[in-house]
Amino acid sequence: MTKTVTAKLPEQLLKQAEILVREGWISDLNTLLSEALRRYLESHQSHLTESFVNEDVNWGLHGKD
Amino acid sequence: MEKTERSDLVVVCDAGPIIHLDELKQLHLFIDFEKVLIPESVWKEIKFHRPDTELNSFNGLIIQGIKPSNEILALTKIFTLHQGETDALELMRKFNTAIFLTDDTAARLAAKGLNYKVHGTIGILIRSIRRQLCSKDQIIALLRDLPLVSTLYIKKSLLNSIIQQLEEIPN
Repeated sequence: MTKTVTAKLPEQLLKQAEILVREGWISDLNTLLSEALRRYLESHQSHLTESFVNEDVNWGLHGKD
Repeated sequence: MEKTERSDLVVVCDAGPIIHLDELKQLHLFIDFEKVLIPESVWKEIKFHRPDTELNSFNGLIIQGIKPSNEILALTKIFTLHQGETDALELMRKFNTAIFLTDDTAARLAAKGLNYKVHGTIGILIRSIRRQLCSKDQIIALLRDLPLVSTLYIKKSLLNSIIQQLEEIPN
């Protein structure tokens, strides 16, 4: 199932994406945007961010340096 | 508040912590570090978002042009990092006992994979209490204002839990 969204993108970023599609590195812009979003979500998972902030709190309060 | 002696810490900065501390008017906290190393690409990013950012008067500031190695480039592509984050990781390779300051989860993940010490804006703010640069109450007030004045996004429940932890520490 897919859903249509409207988003504003920097022109240069969109141009680069369109070049990749035109050159045949990826099937279309929809696939490219989904893949980019998936990768972002994989590396920015909420629990990871939360654990990093908690590490910061611990360092701030109890660190030696 | 009586200030402790400056630490001998060297930090390598990504744009996030400098932008966020500037938004919070807390750039003075960098004076506690012996050296603040910033890749040229990161400095450009900071100046793009915060043209009036002033770190130049701080004599520990070093802005350095850098060319990432193939190893770092390969790693940063996996984590889809920006040029600034990539250059900062390359600087960390050269100063591997430094602390890498970033607020980007993916950059932090990549740095941890390389066994680097990494912290972010929240760490620097809270550390300033331990280092007697700011009072607990000042930092609590800043954290309360964070969603209003900063582009550092932190889940509300987590922010409240941090504030509560700070409130519980003795003065």
